[in-house]
Amino acid sequence: MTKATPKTKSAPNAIRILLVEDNAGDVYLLEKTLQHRRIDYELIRYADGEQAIRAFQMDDFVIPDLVLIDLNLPRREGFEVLHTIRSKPAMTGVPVAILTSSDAERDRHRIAVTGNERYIHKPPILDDFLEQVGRALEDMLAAR
Amino acid sequence: MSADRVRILLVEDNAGDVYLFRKALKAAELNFELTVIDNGAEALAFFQGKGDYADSPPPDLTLLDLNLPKNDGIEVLRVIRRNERFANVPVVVTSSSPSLPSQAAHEHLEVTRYIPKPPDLEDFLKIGETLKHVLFHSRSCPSDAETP
Repeated sequence: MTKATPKTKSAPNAIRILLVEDNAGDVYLLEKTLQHRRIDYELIRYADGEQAIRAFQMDDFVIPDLVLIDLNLPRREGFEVLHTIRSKPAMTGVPVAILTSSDAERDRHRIAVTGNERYIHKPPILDDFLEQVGRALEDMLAAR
Repeated sequence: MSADRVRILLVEDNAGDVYLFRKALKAAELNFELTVIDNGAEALAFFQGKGDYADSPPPDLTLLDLNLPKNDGIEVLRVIRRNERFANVPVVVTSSSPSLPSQAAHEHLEVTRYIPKPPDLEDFLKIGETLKHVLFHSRSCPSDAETP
C-alpha cells in the first residue's frame, strides 16, 4: 500500500524534481546524490505509476523542472507514465529521464522511440551511483 | 537473545536497499556483523561452500532479495534448503512484490518470513525490528520456522 501524499522537501529557489519511484532505497540514494552535488531541490515523489498519472491529470498540477521515472513500477509501468507526460502539452520542454537498473536492450529501444528522454542507469555500487547519477542530473539541469 | 554479535548475510544487489537494511538493523539496536553479497552466483558459492567461502560459518540469519543478477533468489533459496548445514538458518525473503512467488511453496522451499520492501523510508526502517524478532525466535526455538 503506498501513501497518497507525495514526498516533498522545501528549499528556497529549489529545482522542483518529480520522481516516480517505488523503491525506498533508490529514493534515499537519489536524495544523497542531490545533496552530494549541492543541488537545492524540492522532491515530489510518487511511489507507483497510478499515483503519478493521476497527479499529471489534475488541473492544479504544478509543472516540475525535471522528471525522473523508474521503469518497473507497481500498478502502472514507467512507459505508461512517460506516455501520459508526453501527451500533456504543458510538459513540453520539461526534461525527462528514465532512471532504472534495467540494462535490457528492449527497454533502451522503447525509450529511444518514445522521445528525447535520457536513460540513466542506476549502478549497484553506492559510489558509482553518486558519481554517475549525479553527473547525469547535472548535465540535464545545465541543458535546460 | 544473548548479547553476542549476530552474523547476518544480506543477499541484495541494490545499493540503496543495502544502505537501508543496515540502517534498519542499527535502528533495532542489534549487535550485528553484516556480510553483503550482491549477486546470485556469489550467493550460490557461499551456500555451496565454494572458493573463498569454503570455511565460512553459517550465518545466524540470511536476508535474501529475490531479484538478483546472474542467479535469482529462488535458485539461491533452493540451494540453501537442500544443504543440511543451513537447515536451521532462518531465511527472510524480501522483494518489491507484495507476496512470495508461488514457486517457493510449490517446491516446499521453507521461508522463515517474507517481507515485501516498503516504498516508504519510515516503514523500511521498521524491518529491523522484524528481523530482531526472527532472530530471537530462531535462537529460542530453532525449529520454529513457518512458511507463509
